[in-house]
Amino acid sequence: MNRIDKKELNQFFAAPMPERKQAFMRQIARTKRGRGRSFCSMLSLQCRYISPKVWLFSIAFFGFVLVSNYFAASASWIPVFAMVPFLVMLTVTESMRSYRNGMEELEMTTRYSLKTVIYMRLLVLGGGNLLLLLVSVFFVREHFFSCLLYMLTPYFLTAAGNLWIVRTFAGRESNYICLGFAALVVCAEYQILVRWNYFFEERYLGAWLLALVIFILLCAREGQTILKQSLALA
Amino acid sequence: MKVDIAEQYDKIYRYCYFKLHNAHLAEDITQETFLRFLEWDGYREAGKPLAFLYTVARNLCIDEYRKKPLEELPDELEAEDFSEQALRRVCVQQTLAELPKEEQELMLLAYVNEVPKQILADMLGVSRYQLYRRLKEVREKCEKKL
Amino acid sequence: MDLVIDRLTKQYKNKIAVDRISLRFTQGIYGLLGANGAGKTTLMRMLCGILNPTSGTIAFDGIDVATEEYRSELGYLPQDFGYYPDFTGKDFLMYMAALKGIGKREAARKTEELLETVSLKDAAKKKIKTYSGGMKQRLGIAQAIINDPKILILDEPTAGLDPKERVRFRNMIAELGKDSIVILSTHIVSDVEHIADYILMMNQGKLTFQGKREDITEDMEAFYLREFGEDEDVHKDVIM
Repeated sequence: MNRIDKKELNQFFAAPMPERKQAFMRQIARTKRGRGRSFCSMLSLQCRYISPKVWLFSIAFFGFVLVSNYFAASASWIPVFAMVPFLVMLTVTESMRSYRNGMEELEMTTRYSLKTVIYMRLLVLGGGNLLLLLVSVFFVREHFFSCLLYMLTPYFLTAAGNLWIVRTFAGRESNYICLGFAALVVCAEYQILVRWNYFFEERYLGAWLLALVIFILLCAREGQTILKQSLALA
Repeated sequence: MKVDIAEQYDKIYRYCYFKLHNAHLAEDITQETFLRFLEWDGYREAGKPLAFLYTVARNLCIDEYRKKPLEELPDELEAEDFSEQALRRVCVQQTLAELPKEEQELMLLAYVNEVPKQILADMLGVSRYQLYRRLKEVREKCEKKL
Repeated sequence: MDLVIDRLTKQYKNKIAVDRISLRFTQGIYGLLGANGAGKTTLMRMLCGILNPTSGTIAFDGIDVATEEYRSELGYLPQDFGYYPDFTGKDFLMYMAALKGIGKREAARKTEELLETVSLKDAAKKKIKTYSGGMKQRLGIAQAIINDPKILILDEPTAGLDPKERVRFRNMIAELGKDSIVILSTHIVSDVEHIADYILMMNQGKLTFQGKREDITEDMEAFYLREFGEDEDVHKDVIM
């Protein structure tokens, strides 16, 4: 047989194994990756990783508000009032998931680090919450602003408290402590509703406003501390 | 036609090694070729990526020749034993070695690196029919020698 | 490729965990040896930007440790790490890839590739909570290298791996060491013996030895014991 087959050709043209191929391929991969992800891409990414329980509860909350308003004689903001702390609790505990599950160290070392992750989660969930609240309050046509005030005050109180708790208590217990705090706030709300109803009179609006401002500041301070801490441990 | 760098790396490397007979240099040039390929705006210009790769590789090899004359390593032609297989191998190697360089290169590109015939024809500036004819000529030449 | 540490110190209230260490890492594999409490993990966590040093600086090619750019080049395997409970092995790698800035398509490709490399392909769709210690460790290694980091920091990477896996791991690291800085800390001297280019030894926060592996002509075990003196109690946890 005089035909030269493929194998013999391969033998003739054989070259020694290239030694630096894998290193080269890695280098190319690194260069291609230089650009990274956009802010929106990261935001949508975190959305996808947020636990479905949170979305479900938010929707349930909204549904509950709609339904109770539908059946009530007059539109009431009370159901919203009651649910706000739990909604906030979910937001905070979900945002700080990394600590609970021991992922915080790994996430601190990535390009889009823990700080970004927490920030994004807070943005998505917190923003979503506020939107839900606004819409819920919207159903109450009269006294819109005062209702908003009554809503936002426990909102920021719970947020500040939860953020502090998560920062101070590591591990799975922080979840339960946050829940406890939220429950406390609801109890306080209940007391106000039932026993100290006069707090809803106009003359106390100023007090509510002051409380709101204080809670917002506390919340901001806690948030800032958490974000700073998520960069690196002391 | 998309080029898979991982796949073509070995082929371009083999091509450069054929040209230069120096593994280290061949790999340097292979990497340089691909770096230029990645910077190439070529998908907008006419021209197939594979042809681009070989053209760049060939030019870089020519530049290397010019820098300093490379020693041609003698091809090993000694049989280690006299079995029929080994003898045949030696004959085949010798036949191929005696071909002129351009014909060797043609065999490498067409049959070992499996460059698609149309692209190969374009690279050489001939028609596909002419390419097939040349390949046939070379094969027949080898067979006759054997 | 230059990772420079300058007079790095980490001091706690009653203890100095890392004591004025200055080093310059270039491409290659660095074996970091030392007993428990020597400061290896503290040093590594500072190199990863997880821990703030008390004083001193860390920079890679001039880029400070506390920047996104530095972190882009980083891969880290901690001694112990957690995971989100519903994650499967594949989910975990995809998630880490995303945080490391790898686009979705490439992340999918690399995840497939790495799961194959660390022999977790069959377990890829199972939840991490069902993984054995060795499997989790291999997953950890995979996430550390998924972004082809130039700086790879591995804290006790071979703990929990069986001998066959350990060999595979060594080969993987040897390949990566060709174009990256790999720093691995271990109790297992034989790991370091076979793949490290450079040896670093730490004792009580200080760097007591640094040199090329090839310059150590005697048996590694003997060398190690000699370097650390007769304080064998401290080193009973070091596995020869």
